[in-house]
Amino acid sequence: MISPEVVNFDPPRFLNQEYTVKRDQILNKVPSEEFGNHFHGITAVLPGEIPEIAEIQDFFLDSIFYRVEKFPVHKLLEPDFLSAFLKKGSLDARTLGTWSDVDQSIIFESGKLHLSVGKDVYQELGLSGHTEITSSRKQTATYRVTIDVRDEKFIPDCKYYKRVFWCLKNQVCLQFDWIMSWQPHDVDICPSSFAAYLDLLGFGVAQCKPMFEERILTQTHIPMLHPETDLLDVIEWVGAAALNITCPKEEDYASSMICPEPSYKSEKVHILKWRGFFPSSQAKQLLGVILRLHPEVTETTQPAWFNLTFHGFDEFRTAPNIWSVFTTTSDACHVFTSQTSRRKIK
Amino acid sequence: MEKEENSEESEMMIYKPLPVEVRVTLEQHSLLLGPTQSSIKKGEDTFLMSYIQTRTPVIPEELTTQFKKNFPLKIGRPAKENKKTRTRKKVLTSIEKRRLGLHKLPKTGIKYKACAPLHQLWVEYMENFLELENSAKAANKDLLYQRIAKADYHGCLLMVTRSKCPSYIGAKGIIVLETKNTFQIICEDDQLRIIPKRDSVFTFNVSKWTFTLFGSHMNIRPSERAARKFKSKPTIDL
Repeated sequence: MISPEVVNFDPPRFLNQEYTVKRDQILNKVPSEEFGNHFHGITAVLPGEIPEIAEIQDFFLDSIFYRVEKFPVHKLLEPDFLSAFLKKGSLDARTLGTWSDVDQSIIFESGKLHLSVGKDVYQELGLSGHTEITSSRKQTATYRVTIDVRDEKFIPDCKYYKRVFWCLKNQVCLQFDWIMSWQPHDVDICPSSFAAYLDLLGFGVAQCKPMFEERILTQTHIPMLHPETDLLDVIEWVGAAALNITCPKEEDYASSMICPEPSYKSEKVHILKWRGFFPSSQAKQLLGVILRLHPEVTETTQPAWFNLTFHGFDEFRTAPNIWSVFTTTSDACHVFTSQTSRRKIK
Repeated sequence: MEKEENSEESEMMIYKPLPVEVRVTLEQHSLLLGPTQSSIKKGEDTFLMSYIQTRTPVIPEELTTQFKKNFPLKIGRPAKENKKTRTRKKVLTSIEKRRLGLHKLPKTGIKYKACAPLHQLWVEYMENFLELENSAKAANKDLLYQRIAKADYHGCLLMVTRSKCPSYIGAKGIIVLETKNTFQIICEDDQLRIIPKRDSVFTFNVSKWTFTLFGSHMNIRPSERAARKFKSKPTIDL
């Protein structure tokens, strides 16, 4: 018998969206903080000779994040921890190893704690939340609970705090491996004091640094952002460049990947890749730096562009997974977002 | 003619000028009062008002009371009151019970400490009633389950462990009233909480055993529950 088709899964459903945003509004829009956006990867494709490249290369040199093992949620809300690390500075934390479609996960971001729990846990938890996925034949419901930690009412003496703390402590199953990063509000305080505190409490803390990779391509054809060209083609070219795939001007026998027309020839292209844990605030800073760069001049009237792509985590599929921004000298920035989910995207 | 004369005379009487003494006293009065601050016209008015006020003794309230005097014209029977007097029965009807408020508990009157003896009584009652030493260790626990289903829970220290509504979870207290659809419990902070039975799961402890009650299956009046036969199920959904 010729190999039968045993495994045939449909590709996951995806939703691609493209829109243009004005230059001064782009920092508000991308990336939006309400969807719990932490990024595990940032890729920058910068054609042309850039004098400020050193600044960009060293951007994430100092950033550190920590991996904490078997940390229950209610420890985040203990009075000492709350006053020292949550109310001041900004903490970004996320549970590791949990898939949003299957398990429950927790995100702490911009002062809010988001829990995504299944039906059974929600019915025993005691905190009110909203349905994230409605119950259907194939799936039980998932609920999303949001607690604003920065609220004035959230003090250890207050009834609301006591209720939240009791509920989270009562629920023993909310214990995960976490990935955390803390930015202090004061320059004098070292970010590692956070890790030292956790270590003192007896949790396994591992320090991690983001991975950085850089490549410089020379004499490459780069597509231009013409109004008639499909943005998807340019995105494909950017992705190919990041993955070390060459796209020549003429079609080659071996591969059909070519540089989309119209294009121009550039002397140098910097491709920078970071992999790690990046909160949205840091991502915004990087975007600000890129916005201030001046792109090179091409032969035609169309300006050259810089591209910055953010890769989000798998959780909370209500938000797009991939954000890609093209910045040019003009006022408009092109944004491409992609969202994948096994379920129907509304 | 005489009449006309008389009327003329009376007219003359009315329209004669005032006698001298009176005229003088009026002038003296006006001099005494002196010039008023407002205009001359107003001055005359205030003088007039004060003159009249000193001369008229009647207070308006007295007038109204005088006018209110009743003059009975006819003696008639008063309207008959349609009052339902109680019949000879000794038991209160349910309407009367509802009107008297027997089914409602006051929200702030009851103290938790006052109910603690009730809880003690209940624990003793349950220990006797359930016969835990025999029934809990037996292989077939049907007897135990039947007893639990028929038991009276007034005085039980109950806790809500699972519920479709998150705010009920964690409510803990002594049951003071059980109705068809609710448990009314008194919490430790002396607050009376009414918790619907439907879509909730409760737990309570007796000696060293913990029992779970599924509220959705207990939507029966306690009096009727004692007579009801329950089917036993292997697993129960919420």
